[in-house]
Amino acid sequence: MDNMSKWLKVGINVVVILANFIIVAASVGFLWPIGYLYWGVKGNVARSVWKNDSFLRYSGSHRPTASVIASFPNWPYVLLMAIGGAILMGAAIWFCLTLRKLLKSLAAEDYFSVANVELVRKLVYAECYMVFSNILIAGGNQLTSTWLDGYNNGVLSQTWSDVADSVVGVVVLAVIYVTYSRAMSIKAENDLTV
Amino acid sequence: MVKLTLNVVMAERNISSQELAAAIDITPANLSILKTGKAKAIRFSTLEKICRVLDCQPGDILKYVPETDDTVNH
Repeated sequence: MDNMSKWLKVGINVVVILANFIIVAASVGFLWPIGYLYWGVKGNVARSVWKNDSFLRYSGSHRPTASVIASFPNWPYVLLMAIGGAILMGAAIWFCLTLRKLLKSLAAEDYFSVANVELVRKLVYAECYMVFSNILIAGGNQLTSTWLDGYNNGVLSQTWSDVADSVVGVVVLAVIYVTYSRAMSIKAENDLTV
Repeated sequence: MVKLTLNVVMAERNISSQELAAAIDITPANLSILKTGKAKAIRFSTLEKICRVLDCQPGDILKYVPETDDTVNH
């Protein structure tokens, strides 16, 4: 730890604390997919969405008519939100656990190891799952936007722009993974140069 | 592929790995990498030191062996 700058150490600790916080929050977040399934079983999904505090109406929107509520695709919406939400929470926990391991390895000044490359690869996979979950959730939110003329402003409020953001995240992580792998192979070659 | 025949020359000169490692100022672990053929590359400076201590030419410790299908697969 002597060679590591004080600020880098502090930075790693801060990110580890944030990762721990996200792990706890995402574990609690599994309640949301369960909540959506509950709405589905209970029926009247459109009415539940409309009455929810997190559902904001577009300005000038009207209360949905009975026919709109009746035609709302209840189960597709519930399944998109529940499956998307569950995958998102799982992926977020996996991402943070992996990030925590990677940061602890870096804090121990173990910079170039096969295990670290493997951890970065897992980060890329976790982010891919997040992209997939964001697509499902954005699809679900599109249904409420189209049918009920409003948008979800609470948990699981991802839209198509969030999907694009998470794709950028995958690209950035993939670039880091490829660079790290190359650095590892260069180091391996250097280690075997006598 | 290029093979290192350091073992042979060392045996001819009757010099141990420890002695050679100390004489050319590399670690025994690195000398072992050379002797077991795991090395990916050898520095000119290391080659020079080996040749000086063992009183030989680079060609005495490096041999080119054409690769057969069998060696490529392995």
